[in-house]
Amino acid sequence: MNDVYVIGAGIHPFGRHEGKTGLDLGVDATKLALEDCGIEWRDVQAAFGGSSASGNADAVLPRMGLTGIQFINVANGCATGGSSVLSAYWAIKAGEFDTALAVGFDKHPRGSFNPDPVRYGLPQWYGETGMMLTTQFFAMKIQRYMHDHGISAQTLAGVAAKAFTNGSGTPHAWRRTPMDVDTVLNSRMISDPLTQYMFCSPSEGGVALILASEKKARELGRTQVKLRGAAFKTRPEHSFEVFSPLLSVERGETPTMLAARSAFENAGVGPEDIDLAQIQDTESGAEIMHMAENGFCDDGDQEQWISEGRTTIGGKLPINTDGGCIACGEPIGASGLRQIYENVLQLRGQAENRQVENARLAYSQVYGAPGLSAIAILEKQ
Amino acid sequence: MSNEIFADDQDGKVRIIAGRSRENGQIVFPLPQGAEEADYERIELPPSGTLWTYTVQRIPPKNPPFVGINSPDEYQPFAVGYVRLGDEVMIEGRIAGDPDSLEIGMPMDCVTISFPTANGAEMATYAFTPANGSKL
Repeated sequence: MNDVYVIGAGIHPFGRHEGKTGLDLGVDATKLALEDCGIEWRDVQAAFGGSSASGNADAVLPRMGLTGIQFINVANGCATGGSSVLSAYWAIKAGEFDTALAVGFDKHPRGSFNPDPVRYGLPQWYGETGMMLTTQFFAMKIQRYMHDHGISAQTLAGVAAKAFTNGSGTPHAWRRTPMDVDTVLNSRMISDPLTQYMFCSPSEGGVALILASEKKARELGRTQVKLRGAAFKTRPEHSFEVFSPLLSVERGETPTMLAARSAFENAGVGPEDIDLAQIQDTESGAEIMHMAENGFCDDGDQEQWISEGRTTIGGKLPINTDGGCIACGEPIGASGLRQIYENVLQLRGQAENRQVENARLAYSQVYGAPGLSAIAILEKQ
Repeated sequence: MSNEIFADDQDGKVRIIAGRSRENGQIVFPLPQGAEEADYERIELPPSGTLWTYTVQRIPPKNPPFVGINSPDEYQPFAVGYVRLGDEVMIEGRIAGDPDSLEIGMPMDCVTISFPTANGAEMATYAFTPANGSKL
């Protein structure tokens, strides 16, 4: 099996961009990633890409050049970006290719997502009566979690305030104005217990990563960041997932728990070895629960972790150093790739005023509907 | 929605209709229709239970898929939650009544509600409501 390196990374800043299509953002990111590693488009041997609302990702081909490259379109909900990079990883690891692109971009309308029940195998009445909202699921999951593990609304707000602080120092972030805990707490209630500024919003953005085999990375002198391990899992029985008219009384593990175990095993490291993490923060409750599901703390410990600032830059385990989904917004196709982009910058020492010192292992986890989780662990060489 | 989703029992109580797998005994909801239907036995769930978790839909959902009145001026927030019905399953549904009175663990009854739609019609659905005079 080949070792796999992330040799190039490009991003189009997240936010709202009048006059640019989603595809434009993907093309810009791809060009920046190529420039970053100094290879030409014709040198890329395989590509995996996804977009949820901006058409087929392989629409970048006429803009980049019709080289005959294998391009596979990826669609995996909010984990589309994570799925694209994992596909590129396996392709190179298997020895089939020396270079591969993972690209994602999106441009969503304002306001919450409004998926069609039928696409999820659900009856129309589920949506007609007002239950087809991801926001309700996130709210109900954290509501129960707060009840079971003593998490306070103050802690939910603390997570969002940290996201805006980190976002204020991140050139690719959308929301770059710091916000204090009280402002987050007192903002409009969207879905109890989650307020407006605890949620991420659908946004626009594009990210591209170039992965390469060890041979190619050495040839180019681009061996700074190795993709040490990765895993992808869908939901097991008894997991509480989005768009579920029925849950079993028996409560089980989540796709993130399965993926985390598998990724740590694959990488040969444990949660205690990780120096910084980007984890899915669709809203602040998700970040709190994912801290435990990924194995970084026990259920309920988040209350102390947040109050002591352990997840801030400079803390024991900085989380979502670029402000995460809360500050960057969520363009579905690009979101998971942004996490890896941020980790690449951090490990190369290019994260400027949000730089985590002496980081060697960087972790990323993206979660998507209807219940899947993709994880990548990067290592500085 | 028709009586395929819920049934009014002889005693006036509302029971949600689910399916029990003939192969492994697992309960599914809603009861599958069409090709899958033959694999399930139609069952009725207990008419009351306890609230497992909930939230309140404070802002209007988009149409589609929501058919209720969602203009900012007229929209009425409603609660949604999971209620444990019996020993095996929890069902997700709208919750009728004051959303600010809810607490995890409180006893709940199955009911039917009807709400006005944006095109002037009424839509009926099952829902849950805090059990009469219930105290935690």
